[in-house]
Amino acid sequence: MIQAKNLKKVYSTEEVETTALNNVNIEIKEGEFVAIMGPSGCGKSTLLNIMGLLDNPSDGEYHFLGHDVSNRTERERAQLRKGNIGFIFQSFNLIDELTVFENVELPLLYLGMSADERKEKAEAALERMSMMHRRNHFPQQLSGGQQQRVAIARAVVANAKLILADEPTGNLDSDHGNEVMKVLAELNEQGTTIVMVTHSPHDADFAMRVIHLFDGHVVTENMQEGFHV
Amino acid sequence: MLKNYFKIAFRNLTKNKTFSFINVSGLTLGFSCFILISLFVLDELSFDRFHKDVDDTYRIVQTITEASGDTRNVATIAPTIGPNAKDQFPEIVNQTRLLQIGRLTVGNDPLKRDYEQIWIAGPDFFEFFDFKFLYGNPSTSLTGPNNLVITESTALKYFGKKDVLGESLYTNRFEATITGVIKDFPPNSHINMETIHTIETWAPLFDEGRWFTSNWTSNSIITYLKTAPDFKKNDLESKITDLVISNYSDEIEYSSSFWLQPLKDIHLQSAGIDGGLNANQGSNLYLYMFAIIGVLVLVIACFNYMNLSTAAASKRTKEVGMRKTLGAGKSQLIMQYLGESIILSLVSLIIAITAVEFLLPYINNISGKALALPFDSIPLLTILLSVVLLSGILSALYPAIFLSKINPSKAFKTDIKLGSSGFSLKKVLVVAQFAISIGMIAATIIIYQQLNYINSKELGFSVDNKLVIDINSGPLRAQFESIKQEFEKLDAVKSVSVSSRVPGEWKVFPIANLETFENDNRSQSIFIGADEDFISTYDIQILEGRNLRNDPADSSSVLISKQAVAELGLTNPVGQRININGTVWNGDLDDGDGYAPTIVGVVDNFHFESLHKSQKPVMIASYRNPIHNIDYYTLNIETNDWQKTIADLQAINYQFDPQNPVEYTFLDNRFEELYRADKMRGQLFLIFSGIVIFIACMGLFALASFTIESRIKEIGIRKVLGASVKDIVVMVCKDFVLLVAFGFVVATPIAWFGIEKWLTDFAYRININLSFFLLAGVIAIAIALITVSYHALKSAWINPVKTLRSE
Repeated sequence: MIQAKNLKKVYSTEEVETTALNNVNIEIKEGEFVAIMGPSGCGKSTLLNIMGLLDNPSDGEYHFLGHDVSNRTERERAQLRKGNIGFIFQSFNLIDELTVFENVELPLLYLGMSADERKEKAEAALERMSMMHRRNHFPQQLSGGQQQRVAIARAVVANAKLILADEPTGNLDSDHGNEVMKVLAELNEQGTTIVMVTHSPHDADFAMRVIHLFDGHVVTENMQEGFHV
Repeated sequence: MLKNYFKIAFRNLTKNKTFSFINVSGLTLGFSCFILISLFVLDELSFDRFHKDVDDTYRIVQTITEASGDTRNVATIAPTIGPNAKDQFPEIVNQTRLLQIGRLTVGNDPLKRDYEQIWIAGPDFFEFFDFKFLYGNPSTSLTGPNNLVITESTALKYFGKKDVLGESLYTNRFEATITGVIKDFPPNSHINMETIHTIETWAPLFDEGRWFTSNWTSNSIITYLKTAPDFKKNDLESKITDLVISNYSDEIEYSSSFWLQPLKDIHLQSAGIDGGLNANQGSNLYLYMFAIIGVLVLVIACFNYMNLSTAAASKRTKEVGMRKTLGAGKSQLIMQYLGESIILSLVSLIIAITAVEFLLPYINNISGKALALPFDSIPLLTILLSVVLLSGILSALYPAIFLSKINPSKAFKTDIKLGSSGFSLKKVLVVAQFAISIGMIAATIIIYQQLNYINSKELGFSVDNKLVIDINSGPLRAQFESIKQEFEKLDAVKSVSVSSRVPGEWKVFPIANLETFENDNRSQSIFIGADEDFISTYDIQILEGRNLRNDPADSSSVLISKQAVAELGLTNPVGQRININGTVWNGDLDDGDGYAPTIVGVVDNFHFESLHKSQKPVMIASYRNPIHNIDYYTLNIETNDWQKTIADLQAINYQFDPQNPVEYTFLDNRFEELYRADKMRGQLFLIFSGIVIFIACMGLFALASFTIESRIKEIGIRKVLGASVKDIVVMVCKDFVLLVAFGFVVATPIAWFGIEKWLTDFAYRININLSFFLLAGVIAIAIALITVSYHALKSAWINPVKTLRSE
């Protein structure tokens, strides 16, 4: 599903050049649950952004679903992203002015679906995350765990093949964090590929494979015990 | 500490160049408009207030009730009223009179002569009013025959120097002796004259002066009164009315009353008062309108500044947080913010004052005023400094208080949202700004449409290539046939006509009371005496019958316009006799003026006056008529060399009348002059609506930046979820377009009402419909979209990775 060869990402300002990723090679197969770990500033989020087609690498090749997407325009990346990739963020990134239902419906709106279809899918996704009863609430009225479940509903509503989660439990207490991780594991069991950036070894335990990054390099790749690809 | 504030203020200004530029230029524009309009308003309000007794001085105005029941106000009254009232009513401390009776040719050098209005003033005139004397004695200068008081510029014009006391000045009626030279009448005086004559000089014309003490009926003389401080205005007014009634002939039904108009109201509140003197007449309506616009522009500019600094404030949370952490108090922070804002206001004010200094000559040129920035005027300086303080404080108070309340621990986070209550205030403000803009754009469009309509409206005759020459002297009138022949000999001259009046509101024209012998219908027609060439020179259509002939046998023939035929209800007008039962001159009925001419032809209707007034019926009589002698030549000219043509005409004029210079006017200019005030208003509206929309756009620019900044994360989320650039731009712009659309809804009824009121001033006018306002709305929305799209596109192009980075 994802092949990255010699990925390099350099951020440059007028005076400083920062290398965020350096010769990163990663392959992720469909149905995998991969955790990316490493200290702050090691390039985890940069890698996730490139995988999520939010950003282009400075150098190297990146293939997504068989397409070479190393150097696509923003519009092309957006097209490929729509419906294929779902995002989950540490700070949930729900839109405060929209209700739970409207937040979940949003990706479908940009896919140009009809209102009926959107309703059906959004409700199904909310049902799946057990958030139907909160459909008319606003994000601020929910607990952190509930907000993250809504965010996950939003990530899966368009049947994304890949879910990218950036520290999904970072803003949650351990109970809610666990709850969210169970949901992600369930999704993975149902066939969704998940790539998750995390600081938490506990969360990483849910993944089949852990990739350790340090200063923009892949240091180790460990298969978790009991998982076989 | 203060130095640190200045440093921070200066660095902030230079760091956010766009914000600073918009802030300073918006405020500068606001201040400039405010200063200019203040000068204008103060000047309008200063009229006649330089007289020390201004509060006790009045002008007598007569209200005449016509037979039809309509009333008219006239500022010229009978000459006996003032002196008799003063003798009989102790509350009148003093009175003086002014009379205008036509013009004189003046000048010792025959080649540099010009025409001057004859103003006759009572001997006490210069003691009554406080006009400044340069040479001569104010209390004696207006006594004795042939004595003359002139202004300093008149002295310079005819003598080349100011001190001309005792010198003699040629006039075509008498040899005048200069007994006084006064400073020119100030531009803010409703009285403005060049030469002031004594009653004695002109007594022979007025029944050896007896007219001044015996006539109780005419409407001729302007009378000013000074009253005792505790007088009762209503009482005095009815006493004057009773005085006039008791001196009136019993045979004439009396239908007038008199009232006192305060001297300080004459300039602004004389609409609907005929006659009298009112140089540079003003209007309360426009004064209020300008005052409102002046304040609005300034307020809009201040609120803009508030919007902009609030938007910028969210970028300064870190600075504020750090200051607080280091121990800055709330009030210190507020003071710092207000200080910055006041400095900015002060800078803007200084630029504005410089700009106004540069603009004033240009503005004086258009407005005919002598506005100046009086830097020594303490009231003005006080106003300006308070405006700076007020606008500085008003502009920065909200962001200052907001920032000072920030919790330092939160201040280091970048995504603090500014309070939402202020946000709705901003929306209200934008709606108001755009309502004003749309109203002003609509007004501008409609004013221009109306002027266009007037310019293209058929007057019923041709104004092009017409030169009108005044007949100012006996020789020009007596020898008109020979002069006409000489004029006609010139190649450039295609035709020449003489007439008693010409179109274009030059002087009062007589209105003839027409009656038929056939029915009871009456018509009040404009009466013109003209020769047979009038019709062809002006290109007026004869619909029925024939033209006039210069033959003496045709002296009681007349042409009447279609409208007169209709009003008189004549079925077969040509060949019929009708009766002229007296004429009305400036509201004064002259019932001796009358004869019974024969209608020889009917002409198509034409407009004799500006299109502010409705078309009146017209009677064109032979120039040999007993009512009104010829007064003008009209020449139809085709030439490429106007200078030569005019020199030729001048030469012919001097051939017949060496004493008096030729006085000519282009008829098309004359008609343009009738709409000059309208045109000026149109231009002013164009300028002000430009400024208002410009400032409103700056506000919108600020609001867009502010709103988008607070929504930048949402935009990022939407982009991650698949929104395209187009989706984002549409989403962002939609809100602003809604605000402008709301402004449209607010503006339309108010502007409609106002413009409708302006248009009622025209007898011939376009009809307003919604499309004008829709056009204004579309223009405003387009401008708003262009303004907002900068931020919208910028935000839509941002990579969401940047805006969504969590920590």
